[in-house]
Amino acid sequence: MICLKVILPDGSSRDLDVQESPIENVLLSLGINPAGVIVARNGLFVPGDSLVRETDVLRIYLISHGG
Amino acid sequence: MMKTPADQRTICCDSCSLPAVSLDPLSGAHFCASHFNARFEDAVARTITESRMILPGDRVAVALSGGKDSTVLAVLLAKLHPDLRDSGLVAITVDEGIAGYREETVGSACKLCERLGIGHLVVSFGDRFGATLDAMVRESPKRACTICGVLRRTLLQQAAAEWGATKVATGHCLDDESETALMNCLSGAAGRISHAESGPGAGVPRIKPLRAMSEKDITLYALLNDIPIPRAECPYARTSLRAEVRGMMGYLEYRYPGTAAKVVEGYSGIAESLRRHRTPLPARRCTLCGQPSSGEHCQCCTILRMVGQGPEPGAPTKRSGQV
Repeated sequence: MICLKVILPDGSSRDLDVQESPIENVLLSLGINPAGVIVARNGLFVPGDSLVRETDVLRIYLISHGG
Repeated sequence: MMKTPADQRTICCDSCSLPAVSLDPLSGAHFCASHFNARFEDAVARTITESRMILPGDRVAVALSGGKDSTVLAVLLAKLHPDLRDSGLVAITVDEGIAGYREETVGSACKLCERLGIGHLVVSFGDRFGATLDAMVRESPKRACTICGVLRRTLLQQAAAEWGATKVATGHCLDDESETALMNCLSGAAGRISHAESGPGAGVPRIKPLRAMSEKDITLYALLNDIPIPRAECPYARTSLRAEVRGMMGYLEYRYPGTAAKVVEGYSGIAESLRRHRTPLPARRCTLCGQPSSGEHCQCCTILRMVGQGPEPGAPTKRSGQV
């Protein structure tokens, strides 16, 4: 089965069985606040209302605080 | 010629046909990397200009922790104010002495200053106060943010004054400002709300060129422009009230975009109103160190006494780099 690969901020990854879906929904399903992260789809930064599908790799960058 | 994205799902920039990297949740507008950068830099430049933060002849000390906000600030000041680069811009890094965290950010700050060609001062709690933050809070880590905040501010002010700075630029962003506003309201201390950060007795005036920018946009700007930002977060940060307030604000900002800006705007109005009705306190000086103070002892001396470190004014500032 082909799944969406999500690389989490800590470097670990999750495979998700999703149909074409807004990134925002994927983040919420993982318990991640979309306002607190930046995402790259297949290596390119994309806005949060972009769509992902099962063949994509989604990398999530957590916004570090302070500094 | 109109460019067509290869992927049909690609959302295009509202100002050109290039792929968007960012969505403004308030306006619904999308921006490509180039237009995002231009918009970001314009906004910071406008904040500086409209508030007359940097004037001809100013000598600006950037508080450079090495984290993302201060790193982006240093990069932008060097870019937006090339006239400062000769001798009007310096970075000051305070090494609080937090094992496993500060080494990386101090190293990152040193490399950045070399790259930008600006002077760099490194001052440490150990040198100036006789103990690291780790040592000061060994018995009670929950006090770390309070202790660190006061001592870091004091050390930054001292180093900036010694260098001859006319302004201290800090990387406080919109998220920081909204969290501080909410925390001050939660504490119920009207005096803290009406407290002015600049003015007689407040030391070298502080400026916050990133105060209108969100942490999310600052992070994206850094990522898009290959600005190195350490991923490590301060180990004490998660124990603070600020961390809880940040969680609340993050949720509200997602549910109701623009909340942080509205909180800051409303808070500024309340603070200004309180200031107008406040009776000015008589000018006093700390009986221990002689610095301006609202009470018998300044906050710095009070904290140092609390952690068993007597105030030691006049210790030389350790300098590194090309100043």
